[in-house]
Amino acid sequence: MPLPWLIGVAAVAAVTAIAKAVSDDSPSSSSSTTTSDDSERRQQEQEARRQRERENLKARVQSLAGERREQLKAELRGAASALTSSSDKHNPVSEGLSKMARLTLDGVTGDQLEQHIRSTASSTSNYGKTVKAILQASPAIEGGHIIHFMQGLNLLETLTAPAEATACDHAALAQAQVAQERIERLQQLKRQLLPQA
Amino acid sequence: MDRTQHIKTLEAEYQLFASQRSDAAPTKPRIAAWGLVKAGKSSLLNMLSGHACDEHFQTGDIRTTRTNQALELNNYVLIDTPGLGIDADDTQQANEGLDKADVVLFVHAPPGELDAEEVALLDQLRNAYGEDVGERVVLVISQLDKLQDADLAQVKETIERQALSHLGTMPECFVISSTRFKSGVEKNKEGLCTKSGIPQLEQHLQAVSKKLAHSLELARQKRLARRALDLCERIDLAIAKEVKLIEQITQPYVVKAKTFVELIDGARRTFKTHTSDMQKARKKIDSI
Repeated sequence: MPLPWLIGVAAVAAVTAIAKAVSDDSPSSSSSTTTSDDSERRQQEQEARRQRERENLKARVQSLAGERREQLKAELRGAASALTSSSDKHNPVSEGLSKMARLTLDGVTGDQLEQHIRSTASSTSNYGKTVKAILQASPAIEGGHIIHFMQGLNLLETLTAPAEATACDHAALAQAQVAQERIERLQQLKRQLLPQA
Repeated sequence: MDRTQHIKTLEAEYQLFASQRSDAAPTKPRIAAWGLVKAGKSSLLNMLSGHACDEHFQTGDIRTTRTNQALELNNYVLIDTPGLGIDADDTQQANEGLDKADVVLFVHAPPGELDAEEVALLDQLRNAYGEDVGERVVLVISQLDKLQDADLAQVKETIERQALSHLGTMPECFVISSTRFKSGVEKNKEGLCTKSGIPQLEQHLQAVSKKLAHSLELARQKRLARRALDLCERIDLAIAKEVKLIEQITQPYVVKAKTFVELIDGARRTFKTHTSDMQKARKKIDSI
């Protein structure tokens, strides 16, 4: 091999060796600092993300609470309206029932609402007792329905005020009771007759 | 009639039924004359009982019989009842007489066939005697002197057709004249008596009574059972009417209550769904 070629090869080898040495030295000098920064940054980002998620969830809870209250109000008003609807113009709706149909839930906390909804107490109002007696006279409604009615009425009355029965309600009850007494009298007569039949 | 009054009527009927049920005497068949006012019932019974000249059952131009009157003879008991169709109390008395009767003389006075009121009485007889009505009812066309023979035959035929239609069977039918019989007795003319139709009717009643004597108790029990059943059905009908009235009174309340319960249940469900969603969200917050 000619000398100039040998010198050239040697020079290239030397440059390559230096370059390799430089390249091998560089990571060992700055790696620990870079990893720590990244981890911190990632933690911060994660915390921020969690914080945002918490905030979002808190907002959702608040939104659900508001939605729950508004929907309950609307649905309770609707239920109360079912009691106030009357095809009889001569049977006026009592003030208590009208109030139920306009209920606001103002001043009632979420916790209180939950308690009221959970409650299984029955109405003890004059209206409740009168309608219960009317319903009990009917063969067209089961006892379980009457209990649910009284519990629902109590819920509304707790959120507004106890309702009063109207004169028409009392008259209907009296009529039903008189008819019931006549039935008992007829049944008694039949009991006397049957052994002789 | 209002509902309470109707119950009182049923109770009174029951009391009457109970008292008649316990009244087994007499053991002879009871034969009642039954029909509209002035049909000639009392006169007929006077002739049948040997009182043609000395009235046992009072007669007159105005209605005289106001209560049931009985006369016991050798083989049966005759019962005179007030005329139907004029007075409510008289009708009630007559119906009580019918309740007791084992045999009924359904007396009709011409002119003409049975009117609507008498046809309704035939229906009542059918209800009272059921399948035995053919044997227990005897049709009597009284005052035959009032009609020409041809007219009488036509009236008799029409009445028999009416009876067949409303009783479902054809009972024995006799055309009689109490006046002719009385005259025959007074003048001692057997021919007149025979032409009055009374002896033939009496003979029939003797035969019926004899036949009935053996089964009288059973027949009465059967009739009482039919009456009890009829009363039971009327009581059931009255109860059904009261139940319907209660349904009418309570129906608006039932409809409202059912709708109300449905809506309240819906409100509770929605509230619980919201509450559950809120609880999940809170749990998630805590877990973050």
